[in-house]
Amino acid sequence: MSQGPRPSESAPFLYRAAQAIIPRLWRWTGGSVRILGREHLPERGAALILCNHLSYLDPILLQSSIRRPIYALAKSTSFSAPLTGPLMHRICSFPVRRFQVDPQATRVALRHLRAGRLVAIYIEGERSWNARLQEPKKGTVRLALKAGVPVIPCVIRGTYEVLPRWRKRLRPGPVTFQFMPPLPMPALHGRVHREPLVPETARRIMDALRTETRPAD
Amino acid sequence: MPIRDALWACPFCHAIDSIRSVRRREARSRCAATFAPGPGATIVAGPSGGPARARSVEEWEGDLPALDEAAAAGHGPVSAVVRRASAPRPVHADGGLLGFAERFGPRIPATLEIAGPCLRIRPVDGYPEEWQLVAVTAVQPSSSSVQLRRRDGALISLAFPDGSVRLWEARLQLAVRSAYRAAGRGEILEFHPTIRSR
Repeated sequence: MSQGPRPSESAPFLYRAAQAIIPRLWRWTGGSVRILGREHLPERGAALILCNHLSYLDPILLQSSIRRPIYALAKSTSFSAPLTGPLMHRICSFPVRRFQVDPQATRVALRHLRAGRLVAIYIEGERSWNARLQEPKKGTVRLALKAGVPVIPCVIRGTYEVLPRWRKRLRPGPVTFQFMPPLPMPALHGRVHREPLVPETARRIMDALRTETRPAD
Repeated sequence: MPIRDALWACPFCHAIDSIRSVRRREARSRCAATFAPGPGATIVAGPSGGPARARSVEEWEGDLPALDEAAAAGHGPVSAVVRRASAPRPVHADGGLLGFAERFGPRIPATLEIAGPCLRIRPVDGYPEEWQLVAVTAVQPSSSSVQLRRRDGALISLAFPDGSVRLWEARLQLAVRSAYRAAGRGEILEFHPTIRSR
């Protein structure tokens, strides 16, 4: 994180402020963020970033450490929370109702991708209890096959040690985001074309997320 | 999100759902084994009077009864905190529709019991309620609660002050699976985002 993230696309003020403040705050508390495979992130144009999910900190550190704004799915109930709810869309989040198929979340994700933006989704849908990779959500894979934009798997390491799901106290430490080479995706319109490819596509994405983090460059 | 949520049984005496929070960060099981957050993402635990050691959640899980088996074991009524969701409201931003969001209402202390094909919710103050498990369309974990959605759109969040949310998610899934089978609705293939059976 030697270069501070500088927004290169229009992003809400709060998002830009968070990008300026959070990395400094994180370093001040003793934490660090290492970004590997930054070259796999496009300078411009759409891409779907699919990450594993270990901690509440994943979206906070990911979005504040990457220069380009990243639009991320967040659970819908966060948008009703009294304090954070009104701020959610200002940090480039959009809601997904996780207990049902949510066509509006898909529409908004596709809208962002068609506008050439980066969209991040935590493919397991839920933080891991034990840091192991969980089953992927098939809806996310279907979205990837529908959008037809490159999928960039992002392996997150370290946030589990900092703030696992079963602990409330934060212990700042090293965190790594490793972007893997983009996986090209076809834009398949029509469920009949997408469904046969879902298992194989899910396997490719999860194989990439199982990659061990590279040692320091 | 305490330690008892991550560990659904005691790794020393194997008693299911027996870990209770005793202080802000510590927990104790029925056999007096102690649990506390350790270095990194480890849990330091030890039997009563015995040496404690730090291991990862995954390592401790290896000493627990399988989650499916633990979920299938009998259990009595438990205390729970129930929250009912309001109807979803639209979320707008920059003149466009971003999506919809529910809001959970006040926390209602209650007793919860899975009784055959239904889930009985008995609030401490208020009228009891029964949820037919065959009408449940989603069992969704969320932070330290489990959310249940019914065919008519009703949505509740269940938190377990004295229980493991991981275990209760598995218990509810198992009960819903049995209810679907008994009602001739086939085997459940997936629970997320909605239940799909064949």
